[in-house]
Amino acid sequence: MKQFKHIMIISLVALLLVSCFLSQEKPTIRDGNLNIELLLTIEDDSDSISSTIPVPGVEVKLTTTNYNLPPYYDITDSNGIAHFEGLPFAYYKAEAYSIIKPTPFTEVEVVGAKVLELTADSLGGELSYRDSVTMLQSQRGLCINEIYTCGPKNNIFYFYDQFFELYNAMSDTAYLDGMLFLRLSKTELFADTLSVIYIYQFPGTPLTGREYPIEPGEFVVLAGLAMDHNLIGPIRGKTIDLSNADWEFVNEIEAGAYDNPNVPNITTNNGKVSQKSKVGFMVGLTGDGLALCDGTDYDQSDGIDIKTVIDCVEFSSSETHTKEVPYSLDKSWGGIGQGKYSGQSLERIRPGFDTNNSRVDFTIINTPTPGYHHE
Amino acid sequence: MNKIFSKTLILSFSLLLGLFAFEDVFTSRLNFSKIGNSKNNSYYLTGDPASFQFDGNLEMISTGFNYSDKAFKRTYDPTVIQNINASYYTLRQIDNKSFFAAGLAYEDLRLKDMWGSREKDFYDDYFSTADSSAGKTAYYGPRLQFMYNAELSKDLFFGLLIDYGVERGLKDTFPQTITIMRNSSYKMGLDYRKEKFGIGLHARYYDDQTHYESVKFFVEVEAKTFMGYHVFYNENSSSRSRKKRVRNGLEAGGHLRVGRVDENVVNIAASFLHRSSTSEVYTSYSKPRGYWERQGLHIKTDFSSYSIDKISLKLYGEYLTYNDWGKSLISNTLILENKESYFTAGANIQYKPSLINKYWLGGGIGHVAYDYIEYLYPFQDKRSGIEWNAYAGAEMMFSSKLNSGIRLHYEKTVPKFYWNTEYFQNIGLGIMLEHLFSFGYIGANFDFIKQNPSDSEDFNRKYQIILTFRRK
Repeated sequence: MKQFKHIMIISLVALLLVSCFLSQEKPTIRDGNLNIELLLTIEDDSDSISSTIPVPGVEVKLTTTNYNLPPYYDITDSNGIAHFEGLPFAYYKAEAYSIIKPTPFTEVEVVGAKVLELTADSLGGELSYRDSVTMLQSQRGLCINEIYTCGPKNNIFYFYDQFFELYNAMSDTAYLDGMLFLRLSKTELFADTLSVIYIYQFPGTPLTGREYPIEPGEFVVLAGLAMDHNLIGPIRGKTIDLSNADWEFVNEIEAGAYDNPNVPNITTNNGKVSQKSKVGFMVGLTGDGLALCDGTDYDQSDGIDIKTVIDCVEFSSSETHTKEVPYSLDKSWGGIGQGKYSGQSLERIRPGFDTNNSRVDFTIINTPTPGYHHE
Repeated sequence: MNKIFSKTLILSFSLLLGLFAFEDVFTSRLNFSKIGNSKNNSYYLTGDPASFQFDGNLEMISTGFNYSDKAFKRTYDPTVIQNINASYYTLRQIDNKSFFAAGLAYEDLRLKDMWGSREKDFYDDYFSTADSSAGKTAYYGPRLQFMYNAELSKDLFFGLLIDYGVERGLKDTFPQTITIMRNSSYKMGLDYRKEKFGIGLHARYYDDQTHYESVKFFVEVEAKTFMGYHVFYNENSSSRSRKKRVRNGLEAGGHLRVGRVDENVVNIAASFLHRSSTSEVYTSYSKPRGYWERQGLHIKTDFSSYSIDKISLKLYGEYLTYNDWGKSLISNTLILENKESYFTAGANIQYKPSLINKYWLGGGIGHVAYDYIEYLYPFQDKRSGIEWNAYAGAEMMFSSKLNSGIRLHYEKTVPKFYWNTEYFQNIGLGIMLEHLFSFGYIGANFDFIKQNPSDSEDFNRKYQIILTFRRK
């Protein structure tokens, strides 16, 4: 009986102690109270001293992929400031697009975009944040415009409908002759050469060739397999027809490789460029590095000279991905949140929009758009 | 020594006063209150095992089937709930001062068309998770319950109640979330019973651990962690997604009885609850997501009168309030608050013209108020309303061996976390038959409930059949 009483008393004391550990302090700060001010500016080229001027009357769109929240919109006031109130702590992307008229007879298309890390940790508990976004004229270059790699919605592990889209944002015709399309392996982040897994080359002579033009504003589709993938029974109606692609990747040493005779080839192991892999051009479903190079350095044994790179994109679905492409080519990576076999595609926010920061430049779209741009 | 010890115990329990069993980690449980056979039994008020009274021995086997067809539902509710369960419990007198009860139950629960939900009850937690799956989830597992009750000294009773349950769930569509739940609850109490007076104290600690795991088969798991019921956090897609939810709760309370149990008696019970719940989501590494706390107070009182021959009258009142708050462990900020209160008062009258017949009639009215606020993306649901219910029933013996009963009830309720209706009107019917055989009693219960929402033509139905065999 005595032992029993002791057990009872100990149990009661234990209960009291447990109750002390059950509770946490109620936070005093509420989420959803963050205020942001974004100053939109544009470079002023009117005098010799470089300066920026605010841009009023431009709609700024703020989006987050952390939460299922609708986009926030505001129009910059007379001081060029857009105000956003009552936001939760998160990562945001700010985007602004406008056509401005420096003179009554000229129009300039300007785009501004920036990734804002507005987490509780990064702000140290502050509830207001101010930043500026410089709007740039869209870079007028040849670039990788869309990357579709993750496969359609399917349960047969089908991802052979991969394609890449190039876009000529210049006002002049560009020529693809002799250019290289690379799948990259991990490269030192400050290196001056790129490590390569796959190397494929367009026919023709680099720089001077004029056989394969890409006109201003034209999209060019490079298909892994240039066929109508909807002919595959289990994915019928879920994917895309690439039988009319502009180019098709072909590995010359791949046994029994599919080759659409109506589509010209970008080739490897062709006597000029070579790689170890004996299979076709396939990249990681939700993560990899790609580069388009002018083709003047095609010897990959010592890496491809970074100066020959026309455009380079790194993408990964993971926010915590370890960067694998030099910062000088891509400051970050795009495609965060993209799912394997989701049918999603990665495309620039506007055709050819390029700030060398893929997290800013690219957006995830729900269906691929080969040969055209999403709405 | 016994007196000193008793006083020490009562004082210790008094420190916990303010804490009861109005919230349960077990979705269904063996219910000892149904088998108590004394008027002096205040177990129904607080669930205090020290208050439980029973004379003799008992064995009972029961099997049941539930079917709910939910044409009217919320997004993450199942459309059909199907439950098959079996239980066995026994109660044995150890000596004339103590008894022991034990129960074992097994349940098979099927929840159909669980659109996206990885939870057994999505609306029971503020940090529920969802994915892209849509399908049926099956839960199954055993539950054990033990109760010990002893008279420590004259009129002072001690009771201990332990519940333990393990349950496993499997969703049949990819990514086929597997859920493993382990629940335990420990409750003890003291009850001091005199003829005209009684006082009791009790405390309960419970622990509820749930592990979820979804593994990629064809596609990556795209998990979403809800922060309340409208905004969710997109987790990184991954080949394996795991979640751990831990809930701990502490309840304590007491009750007081004044009056002789077979004349006029007043009961008052009060309990306080503190509960915490933490959710962590794992993909490649641990990520705490949410934490929420609940404080609750529950007060019950009733007055029963047996002074009029053949008629007993009961007046009752109940007050229950909850205060919840939840914080995001991503930003360590407050993201939601919830306040609920219920006040009910009612009466029932029972007429027992003979030992074999019994008729009752009752009703109650109450006020309910909810105030739920989400801060991440402003949302507030503040509502209040009147709830009421009316019921009637009868128990009759058709012969010396065949007992029968019928119950009818009608009620109006204001539901919580339903944003697509203002109130429900429920109609219920219950029929009971029990026959005495030479080897024991065999009984059958049939229940039917129809639930009509105010803002929809769809309605929900629930059917229940229970078969029992008991020896007493």
